Amino acid sequence: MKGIVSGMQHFSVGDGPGIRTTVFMQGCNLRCEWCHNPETISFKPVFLYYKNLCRNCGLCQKRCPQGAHLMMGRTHHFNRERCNLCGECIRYCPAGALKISGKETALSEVMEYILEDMEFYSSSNGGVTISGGEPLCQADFTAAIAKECKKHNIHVIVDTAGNVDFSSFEKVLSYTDCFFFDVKGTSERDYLSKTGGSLKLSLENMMRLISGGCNVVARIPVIPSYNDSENDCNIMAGLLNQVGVKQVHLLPFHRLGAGKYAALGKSYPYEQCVPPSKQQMQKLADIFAAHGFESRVDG
Amino acid sequence: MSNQLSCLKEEMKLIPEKSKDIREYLMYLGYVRHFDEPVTIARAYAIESLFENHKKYIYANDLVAGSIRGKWSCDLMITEADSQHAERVVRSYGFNTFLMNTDHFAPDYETLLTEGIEGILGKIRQSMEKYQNNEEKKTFLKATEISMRAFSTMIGQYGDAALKKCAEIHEQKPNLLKISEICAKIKYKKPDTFHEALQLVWLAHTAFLYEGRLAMALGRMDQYLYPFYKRDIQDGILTKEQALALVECTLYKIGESAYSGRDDVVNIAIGGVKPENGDAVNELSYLILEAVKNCKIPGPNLSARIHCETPDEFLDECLKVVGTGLGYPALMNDEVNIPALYRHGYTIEDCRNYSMVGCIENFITGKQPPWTDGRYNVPKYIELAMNNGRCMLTGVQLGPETGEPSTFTTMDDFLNALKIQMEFGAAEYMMFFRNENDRYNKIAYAQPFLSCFCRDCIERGLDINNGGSIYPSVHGAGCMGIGTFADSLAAVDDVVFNKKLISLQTLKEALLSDFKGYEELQSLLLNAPKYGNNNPAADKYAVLFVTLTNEIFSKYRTRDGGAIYTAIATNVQNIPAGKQVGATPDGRHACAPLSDAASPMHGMDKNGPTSVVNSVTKPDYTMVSCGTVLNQKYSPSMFTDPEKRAKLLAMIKTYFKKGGQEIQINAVSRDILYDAMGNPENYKDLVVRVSGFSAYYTSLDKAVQLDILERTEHE
Repeated sequence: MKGIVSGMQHFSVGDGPGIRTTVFMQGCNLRCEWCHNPETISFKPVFLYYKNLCRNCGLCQKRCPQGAHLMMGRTHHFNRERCNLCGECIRYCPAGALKISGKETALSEVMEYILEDMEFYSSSNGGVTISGGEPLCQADFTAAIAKECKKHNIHVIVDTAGNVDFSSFEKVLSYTDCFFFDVKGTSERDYLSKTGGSLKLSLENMMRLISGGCNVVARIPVIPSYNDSENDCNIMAGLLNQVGVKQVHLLPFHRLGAGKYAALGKSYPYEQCVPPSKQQMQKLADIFAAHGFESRVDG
Repeated sequence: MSNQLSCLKEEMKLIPEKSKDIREYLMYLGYVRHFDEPVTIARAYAIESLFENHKKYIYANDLVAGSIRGKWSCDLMITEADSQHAERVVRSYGFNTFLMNTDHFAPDYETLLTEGIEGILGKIRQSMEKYQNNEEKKTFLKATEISMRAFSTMIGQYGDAALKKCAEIHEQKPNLLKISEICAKIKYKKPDTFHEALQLVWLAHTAFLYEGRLAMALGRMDQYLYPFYKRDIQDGILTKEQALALVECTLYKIGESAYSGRDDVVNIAIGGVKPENGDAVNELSYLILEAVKNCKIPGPNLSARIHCETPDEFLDECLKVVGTGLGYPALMNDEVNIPALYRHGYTIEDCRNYSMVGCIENFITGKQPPWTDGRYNVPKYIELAMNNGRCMLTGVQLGPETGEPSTFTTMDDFLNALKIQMEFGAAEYMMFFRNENDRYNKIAYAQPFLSCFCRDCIERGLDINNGGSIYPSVHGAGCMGIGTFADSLAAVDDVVFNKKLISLQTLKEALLSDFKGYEELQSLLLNAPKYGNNNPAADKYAVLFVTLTNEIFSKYRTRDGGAIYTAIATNVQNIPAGKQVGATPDGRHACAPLSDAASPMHGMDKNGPTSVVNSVTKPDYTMVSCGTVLNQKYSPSMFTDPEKRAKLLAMIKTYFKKGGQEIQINAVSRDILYDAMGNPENYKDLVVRVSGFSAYYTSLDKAVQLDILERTEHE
């Protein structure tokens, strides 16, 4: 069995309890404007060129059969249209400036990577987080990974925005210890305009999971001048109360994805957006706590 | 921080006037009156002069006397001609080098504290009677007596100086009166209180500094001082706060070494197991941690010994101190170090009572001669194996002719040539060491004062380097460049023999030209499997590095029959050592730095710290008796956030459980982040971890880097 994986990362310390390995699945059905993993959005592999790491040595130009890499004088230009993602250039880049996100990966390869850190999961009460992208867009593959993990008694978190048919959840839920469920807006209209998805669908799915006895944590990205007011938090708290979720993690917006937008040749609409302060984040977390949630700032 | 420490810090800011270091002149004054005596005795009188004639400097705010400021202040009128003459005499008697077993030593402070100077002098007397018919032993014992009596006088003088200081500043300061009272007692009698015990140890350490020794360790302070501490606390004559202030004022003076232009490394071992087994962590272990944190100077090289039953609370306190950016305590794994020492025939109790000298060198506390070590530049032998024994930088035939690479048809052929080069290199290394180590007559070069701090020199009537110590001398061969070695062999294996992309002969030509015209090949080599990523193709050569160096050096012994240990730790000398090595098959340019200590090559570990741990723990480090260094960097939030710190703690415990020997961690400071912005090539492995996504710091946009910098400042 195979899936498309953007990347895998050991020692993830922001993706749940303990020391974890995170598997980032390639492809997402939402288009959140602030996305910090833009390389995982496309369901097809994408090429990243980090201009700031490039030494302009021209070796990629020599190796590229498509003429996608061009040296103009001493400067490297990348012609994205010509690239057919063969990856030959990456083998010859001495600077690590070239990467492909999205590789067809066998289940066995994912598991081999995960199992490398078994001792760390057990010593830290950690485990595996399947994230993305949207892992439930590859529900069968996600389920297969989770199932294998359970065979080894590894704690599994699925990190999802949940804008999928509930049948996708049904594939994974018996192998999942906890869902990290993103909540990305206060109204159907907002959600649609900022992410392209449906708030209603995600909340319905969340409710079904909880009523089915699943462990669910709401994860709210706090985006300045979108959902960062006290009023926004009161509304979200109301929605989440109806759904029945008990734990809320607030994730402050950050700009760490900016370099990846540049590497993808895309513009980053949140370039100028200032991350919320620690104090502000704590204030918002306190609002959720006042509503009876177990709340914290994460990330 | 205690009020006393802040006052002392203020007072010590005043740098002594840089007049001439009068140490040699003071020694001369000792020698000059005893030219006709046996050299051992003359040496003892030189020590006597050093101890008794240096000016006893007292800080008005100090709680524990003993300062090296006396090296630069003198009431005598010494002209330039005087000191030149003195220098001629002193140099004629010879001076100590690092290859001569003179420093890097953990003294037997336990005996000093339980018996006092009185007790040691008594033992010397007894021994003198026992050996009254042995002239050589009698001479040696007389020398120990002269130096021990001089030490006693020196202690008394520090007490007098404290009183004098009161007169000078026209204030009867209780701290100074206390010092004078304590010194008057311990100059002869054994100490009874914590304060007295600490004062005696510190003055002994100060005396060693006057002798010119470096890297003298304080050993297991939390063990030998604990009985005093416990008793005083029980008797209600000492509070924890007072004890902290005493330890702080003592350790802060290690910083005086900066006055002479370089930081000394004074190793202090805390925690670990007791000689009889069982966890040794006590209140003093925590107190020393706290004191070192408050001192905030590089000199006290704190080592925390960790074993499988070390309380998590203690390890967590260690991490909090590391997180302040100090970089220590270094964490040592008893579960590896004790078996690594036990292999050499020391009793299990002595192994359990080990401490460290210098940076990380394992040492049988107070029972073996001082340390020596050297640098064995392993990647150089890859260069020689690739070039038929000739240096690629100069063309000189440095090693045996092991054949042109074109004649090697398998990886094993290449490895055989490499092994021959390494064996030859080790023989040359040992030749240099032995010649230097044997150059000096062990009787003429007696160390009478130091011998009083090593079991059983007095009882045997023999100098520490002449069979007096319980165990023989050992030597540490610092085996350099495990990462460069593993990566180079993995690249040869992968690119030449597995994938057959190029011939070994072509690789040699590429190395000889430092990859000029071979850039594509260099990229292939850079992208071959690398040590530090839990990749067996590279890690197996790290295993080979450890077993092969151990096998090669196990054949040799020191002059008195001790072991040659290996070390996978080489300070910062991976940089100068790299300058002597041509281009290597891992894609490294000629003269570039080698990989550091046991760490993967800079920037080549791309899979995070758990993978580094998985790679680094593959070799059996119980073969590496001297010690290992693994350097890691983490962002400050890993230390400040208790939840993340718990993850780090679990990481370290797993590393130790898997057989890691040592780890030292840096909280990445703002300075490093700034530097990484300007010099990204040096920081390819610097990972900033946030949220569900993490990034290599250098791959981030400038604005984002600044963003993180700002964030770091908040934490």
